[in-house]
Formats: sequence, C-alpha cells, structure tokens
Amino acid sequence: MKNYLYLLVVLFILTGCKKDNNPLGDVDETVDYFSKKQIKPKSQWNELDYLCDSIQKAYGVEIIYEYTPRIISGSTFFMPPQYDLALPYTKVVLNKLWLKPLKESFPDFFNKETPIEFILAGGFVHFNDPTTTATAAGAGMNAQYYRLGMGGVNRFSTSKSWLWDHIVTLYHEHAHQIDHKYGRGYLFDRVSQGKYYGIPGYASVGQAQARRDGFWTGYGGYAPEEDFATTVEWMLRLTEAQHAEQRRISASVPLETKYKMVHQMYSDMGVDLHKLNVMLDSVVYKVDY
Amino acid sequence: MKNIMKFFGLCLFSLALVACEKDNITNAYFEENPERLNEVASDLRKALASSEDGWVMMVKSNLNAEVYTPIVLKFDTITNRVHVTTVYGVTNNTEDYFRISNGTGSPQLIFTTGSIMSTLYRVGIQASDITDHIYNLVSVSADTIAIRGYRSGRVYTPEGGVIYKMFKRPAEWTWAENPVKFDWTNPAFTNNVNSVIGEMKFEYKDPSANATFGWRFWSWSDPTVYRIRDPFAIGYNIGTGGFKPMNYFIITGGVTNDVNTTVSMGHNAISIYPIPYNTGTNQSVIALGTKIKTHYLILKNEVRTNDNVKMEFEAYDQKGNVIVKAFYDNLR
Repeated sequence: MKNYLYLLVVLFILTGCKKDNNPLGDVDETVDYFSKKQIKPKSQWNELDYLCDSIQKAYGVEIIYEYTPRIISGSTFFMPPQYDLALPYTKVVLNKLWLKPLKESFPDFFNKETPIEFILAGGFVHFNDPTTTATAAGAGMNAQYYRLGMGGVNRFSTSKSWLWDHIVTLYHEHAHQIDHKYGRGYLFDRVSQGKYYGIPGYASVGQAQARRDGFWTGYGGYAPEEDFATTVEWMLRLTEAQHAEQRRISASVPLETKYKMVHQMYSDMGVDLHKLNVMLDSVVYKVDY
Repeated sequence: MKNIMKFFGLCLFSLALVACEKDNITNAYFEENPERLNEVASDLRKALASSEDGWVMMVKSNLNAEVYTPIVLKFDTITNRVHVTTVYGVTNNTEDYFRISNGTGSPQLIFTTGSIMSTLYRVGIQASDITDHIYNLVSVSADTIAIRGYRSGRVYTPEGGVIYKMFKRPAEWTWAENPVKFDWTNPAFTNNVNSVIGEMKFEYKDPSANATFGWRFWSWSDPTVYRIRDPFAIGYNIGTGGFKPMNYFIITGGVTNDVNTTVSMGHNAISIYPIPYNTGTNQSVIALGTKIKTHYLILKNEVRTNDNVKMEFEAYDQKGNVIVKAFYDNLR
C-alpha cells in the first residue's frame, strides 16, 4: 500500500510536468490568422480609403467596404458593395446624414452609442445559402455591441425617398443594437405580452389594424425585438404632431405605453427622437446631394 | 491483490508518461518561418503582374459538362484593381478591387468589393461553379496559379470549393480586348446581320456531331427590352455589380424551329444563359444551348465582303482549348 502511495505521488509530479505548456504556443502577432491586422498600405489607398480614414479620425467609426475572411459569418452570407456605390454612400449617408449631424446635435448619444465599426453590404442578407434572393432583413448583422451594418448599398440613390427610407432604417437597425446592449426592458416586454402575431401571422396584418393592436406595423407585431425597433423607427418617420395623431387614432393604450417607455429610454441616452426626426428631415429634404 | 494494485499503478504510470507527450501540437513551423507567408504572397503578386494580358479562370456551369466558360482577370498590383472580362455580359466601367491577404497557412486572393466575381458567387451554379469571392492560394508558378474557393457554397458544407488552375491569357484571345465588335447597339455591326436568314455550321471534337442550321439573328428594336429579366442585375437582390445592364437580341430560324429565342450580349460573345425570371424564355434559351452543345459562342473574327458577312465563333474546354467551332454565313 505504501508503494502504491509513492506511485501516486510520482504520478502527480509527472502529470503536472508539462501542464503550463500552452499546447498552441503563445499567440504570435506576426501570424495573421484572420486577416485582422493586415492594414492596407497607404501607397495603395484610393479615395474611399482616405475618406474612411478621415471619418474614423473624426467620428471613431471604422467603415469596412472591402470584405476579408474576418467578417464572414458562419450561417449568413453577405456580398461586398460595389466600390463606385460605396464611395458616394459613405460620403452622403454615413458622413452627411448619420455621423456629422448626430455628433453636432446629440453629442452625448453620439459619444456613448455610436458603434466603432460599420460594414457596408452590397445586397441583402442571404440566410444559409449565398444564392438565395430574398430581400428580407436589410442588415441582420446588428446583434453586436460594437458593429453596425447596412445592406442594400448597391441600390444607393440620391433620391429623397431612398435616402429617407435608408437613414430611418439605419436607426431601426441601431435600435436593435441598443436593445442588445441594454435590453429593451422587462416592462416593455410585458406591455403586449401574449399579443404578438409571430410568423407568418404578422405578414397579413395591415398597418391600421396593427396600430389598434398596439404595434406600429404588422412587422412590429412580429416579436418584441421588432416591436422595439419599429417604435424607434416610427418616431423618426413621423413628425411629433403626426405621431400624436396616429396614437390618437389607434386608441391603443399599449401603443401609448411603449411609446412613452422608448421615448424616455432614448431621452435618458441623450436624444429626443422627435428632435432627431426634425434633424433627419432637414438633412434629407432640405439639402440636395 | 497487491500484485494487481502494482499492476494498476504501473498502468497509470505509463499512461501518465504518454499523456505528457500528448499535446505537443505547435505552430513551430510558422513561428520559425515568419517570412514564409510573405514570400508566397509576394510570389503571387509577382505572378499576377507578370501576365500583361491577364489570367484565365475556366469555370463550369450546370448547363454543359464539357464546355467551360472563360473569365479573363487583369490584375493591377499597384492600385489593387482588377478588370474582369467574361462572356456572360459586358463589363461595367466600375472600379473593382482585389487584395492579397495572409490567411491560415497560405495567402488568400480576395475580390474585396462588389464585382463580376462576387456576382458569379452570388448567382450560383447556373452561371458557374464559383462558390466564394475569397480564394486560398494552392500553388503559384510562372505559368499556373492554382486557387481554391475558401467556402464551397451554402452553410454546413465543407471548407474549400473548386480548384481553378489559372493560365496566362493566350495571345490569340483578342476577343477579350476592347472594343466590343459584336455589338447589337451598333448599326455598323447589325447591318447585313440583323433579320437576315443565314446559316451556322458547327464543328465538334466528334465530327459525327457536326451540323449546319438555318440561323437568323434578329434585333429587338430596343435591345434593353428584357432588362427586367437581367440574370445578373443588381435589382431584386440578384447581382452585386460588375456588369453593364444587359442588352438582348434574338436567335431564330431552323436552329430553334423558328422559336424566337432571346439571348444576351457578352464581351464579343453570344451569351446563351438562362433568364430565370421568365419561364418560357428560360426554356427556349436552355433548349438552344442544348441543341448547339454550348452555352456561349465567342466571336473570333469577322469578315465582310460587300453584303456578305462571315463570322467565326468558338467555345473552350477546361484547359482553354477550342472544343466547339461555329461558322456563320449570312448567305448574301
């Protein structure tokens, strides 16, 4: 028995002998496993690279328009944007409609809630198979704290309707990010608990009916996360007066309750969404690009 | 009992010894050769730049087992721009970029912005067997660059697509240069070709398959008429750029039993690709491709003598050798 104990001691010593040896070795910074650190040399910069660099310096957002394996997701597929459209998109949508006015008008919200990365996607998200053509889900890559992305860049147009729709959708996607970051809240989820339409129910609900049911659109009634994002989106789509009128017509208490919650939540973060509506209206409709 | 215990003890002891050796998987090779990836990447860059006329990638579609489709890629390694010429359509005047990036174990050739290369990836097997816009470098030599799609298609499929052995563009492939002579928007070209009843003689590797068909080119008065069905358009979430909006014309006559078959204009080529957004058109296009045993015809040369027009077309196999020849005569 004594021998056995000795044996055990020896065994412990031996099994411990190489324990602290990291089997994969220390991480070697010079080997670029995911192409992450490979900076494009300045000698190869084009106009958009210079613009992205200026935007990153001014607003702290790294804009990604060239795709490398680093941004591949396992189950969804995105197509890179065309350079010739990514350039004016970055100039107009990202700089003039989104970052610049936000920083000037709502500095607190800008400083705390702006993602540090923004990815341009040429088409829309393709679930499971790159050859699917569904146009649903403009971005679908926004469940991350630090990174926002928008699909449809290859459809860039300076028409007012396209710009307007795209910028309010950008804030819709950003709302998903806020939701993931802070949570829309226990109480928000209780307001319409049990009343969500789900899939495919939401698709057959018209806007007026949805509003009577306490949602801004049928899609907003799909699930709580879209309810939250569409509540933000419609505060930006409508003027304050139009918004009040729609709430009155709907006569929906849940719609009013959730509106107040979201309005307060964003106010606490430093932005009154009704004032943001005024600002977006002025940068989209009062200026020609 | 004591012996059994000793035996157990020795067993454990030997296991412990083996276990100590177990996890010695390291990156030693990469760590000791940090310059390796950079050297291979530099070889690739030099090779890409070495072919003045560009490199050819032969891709396969599900339309034909033997005829492969050429993609001519011209790389500018100073500006990282790539110019893509294909028979699917005419290349747009956009700036398209590529990058050579260090991957895991081998450098990667990446078509980083929206271009014909990402459009073909997006469209799928009806156009080509391209399954990514990111490629791992397999090998590089003076006359061959082998690349392999990083992914092989949809989710849950294994890593690694088709391996393409790119070769330097043959000097005689002048069709890949500008201008586009086979141009249905140019009256100088359509004169004596449009609406004329002529013939097309096909020659194949197996001479017993050779055939001559009545052949009539016919122009849509507005060649943009079918753009709503453009198989590579950016609208409808289909393409991701690279092509000019498609122009169309008609092939009819004996070859199609007088069914007007709408085909599209490639770079100096007849592009007989499916138009999936209209079932009837789609069927007739596929039927034409099946009958003439190729889904494209590249214009090799054109000779005009008074009103007579003769055109010589060809299509290639996997290695870029001519596998189908076609001789058009307008019989005037």
